[in-house]
Amino acid sequence: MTYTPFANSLQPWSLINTKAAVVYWMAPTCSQALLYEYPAAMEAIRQASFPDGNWDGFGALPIAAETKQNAILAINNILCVAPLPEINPNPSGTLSFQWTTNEGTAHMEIGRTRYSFYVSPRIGDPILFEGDVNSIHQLHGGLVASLLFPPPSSAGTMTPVRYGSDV
Amino acid sequence: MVPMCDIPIPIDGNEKIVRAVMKGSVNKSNTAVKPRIFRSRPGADEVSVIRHDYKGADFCKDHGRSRGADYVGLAVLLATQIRKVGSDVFDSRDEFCGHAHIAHGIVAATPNEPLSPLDNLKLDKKVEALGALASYYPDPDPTGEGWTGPSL
Repeated sequence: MTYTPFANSLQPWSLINTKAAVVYWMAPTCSQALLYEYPAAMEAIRQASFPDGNWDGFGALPIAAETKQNAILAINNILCVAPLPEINPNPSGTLSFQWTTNEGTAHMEIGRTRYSFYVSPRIGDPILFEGDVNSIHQLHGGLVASLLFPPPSSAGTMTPVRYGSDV
Repeated sequence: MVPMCDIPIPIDGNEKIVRAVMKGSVNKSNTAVKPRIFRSRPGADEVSVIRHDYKGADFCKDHGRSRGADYVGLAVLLATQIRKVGSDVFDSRDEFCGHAHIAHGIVAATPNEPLSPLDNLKLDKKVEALGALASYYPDPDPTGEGWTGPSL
């Protein structure tokens, strides 16, 4: 059996649209994600996915349905571990996820069949990935989270201990 | 017969260079343009701009309104600012007199597919810098005739 490290079999959440309400369901593997960001991400992708060309007035290509679907699948994986990116269309008919913090920048560009990705931390060399869109994995979001959104360093807590004999 | 274009071909560093801005290309507070307006269409390395010093704000607005998208305002850069970020701006009067192109040295070769990560990194540095340097002037009357906003 071939080991495929970035197999995109994970579908951590689903949109369940009933007559009564829209329900967002999240798999346990994604339990730490910020649930409320999924609807915002879906709306941002919907708004960015211009079905007609020339949306910028300068000959931009439309965003293909496959590209939109690829972006939805990618954000499913990424939002499990990283915050909501800024989502924008590009004149070349692709969609971009971008993160900018004081720690650096990251950019994932998603096309009809391929993606490209970099994280450029403030200190150190950029990390570059590209490949088939089906290979987008939580790893990419993990790199964004760990390099651009590091947890605040906790100051060591000092608790003075006084023994009964000192009192 | 080719119409006369009696403006100099070289673009001086102090010339104001204008890009028409469409709906969706401005930040949420409507104060700055999104850097992607300085990305080229695929298969080319040319971002269409206008030489304001020779054409004026009314012409820049008319051009924006004629583009078939929802025009909302004008973004202004000095030619020297474009060159300082490592891009170039040059006259392209074959489009029309007063037209120019910004070029970054990177071409999105394949429609509907991404740039390589290294090219994206290089291009992002340039367009982010241009987006930060550009002065955005929202048009107070985007559908009306002539520029009625502050002088560019």
